[in-house]
Amino acid sequence: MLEFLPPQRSPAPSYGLRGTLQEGCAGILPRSTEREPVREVQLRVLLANEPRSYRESIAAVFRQLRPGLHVKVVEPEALESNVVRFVPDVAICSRVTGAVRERVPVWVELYPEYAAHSVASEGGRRTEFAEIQLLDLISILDRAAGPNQGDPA
Amino acid sequence: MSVENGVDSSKTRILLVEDHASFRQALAFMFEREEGFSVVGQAGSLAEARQFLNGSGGETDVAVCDLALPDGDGFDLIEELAVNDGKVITLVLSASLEPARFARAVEAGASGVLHKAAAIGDIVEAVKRLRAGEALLSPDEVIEMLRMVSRQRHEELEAQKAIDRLTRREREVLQALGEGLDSKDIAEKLHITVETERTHMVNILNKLDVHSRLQALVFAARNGLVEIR
Repeated sequence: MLEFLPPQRSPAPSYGLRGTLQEGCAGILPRSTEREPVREVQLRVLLANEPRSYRESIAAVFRQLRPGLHVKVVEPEALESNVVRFVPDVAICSRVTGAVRERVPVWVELYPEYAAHSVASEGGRRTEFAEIQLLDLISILDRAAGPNQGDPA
Repeated sequence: MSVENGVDSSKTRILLVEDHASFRQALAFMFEREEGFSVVGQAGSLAEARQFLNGSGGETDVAVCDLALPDGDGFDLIEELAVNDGKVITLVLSASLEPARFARAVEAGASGVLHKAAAIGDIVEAVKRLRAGEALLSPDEVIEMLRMVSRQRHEELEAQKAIDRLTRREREVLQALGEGLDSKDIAEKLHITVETERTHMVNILNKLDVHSRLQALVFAARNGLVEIR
């Protein structure tokens, strides 16, 4: 799904993020399949990390558990151009670039050079993860969506 | 439909061995959403995988394994799955671009190998095909991979023989070469004459069956004889 939508920003995103996570032996599963009402202005999430199986599977989880998000998946080479055109609120990439640092409020450098660690920046606040979990990524999205928008569990 | 330990036994039971947790969990999510699949275990290391297999792991049908794990290569685990419990099908999912590593995985007993640059749908499809008894690799591809492993092993053996022929002094000369020193500097560093250094170098070239200092250095670096800083 690589459609282009013109950037739309709202100071107060007003969508619900009620999907929850359940960690178990079998992994992370949606506790509820109830769909949330579609919000008018969506949080825009850009995935441009390597390799393809990583970004596609993580994007699929985002779409399932947080259907209110506008998730776009691109090749790493298209990261910078999409920072300009797509204007993401959150970017996930394997190597953060100057354009990402300057223009994207929340970004995650996920497994740079296939390393074990990852780095997240949320409004300039950096967090290093020795072993980032899927739940950490979802939490970052929820925080980016604003207060009272995250997992109610 | 029968249910054992909470898992529908008609489903394909999958073990995921992958150290990048966020990907592993997302992959588990994808498989769980596919009809006929159940992820029965997740491991981030060889040790965790072995712990799982020694416990309830007997109920695993397919293991999807990364090769580069924090506590070692996945080859041993693939061999263990193939030898100890031949009913577990192994699909290797690796970030490596080295055909030799894929070939080694096949030799160890992997039924299929996929690069992590594959589409997620292709990974799910590969597991479905393997479970249905289909081969992901043609016989010709398997033969070529096994030949590659054989060639590589022969080269490694020859290299080790050559290394074993080097004297301690000759290894010191190689290490000095790896530090970027020329003949004169190597001689000074090892407190020998330049003529002696050259004699050592001629012997090194002969023993390693190479024709130049540069080739000797490449050989030494490739085989871990010198550390280039």
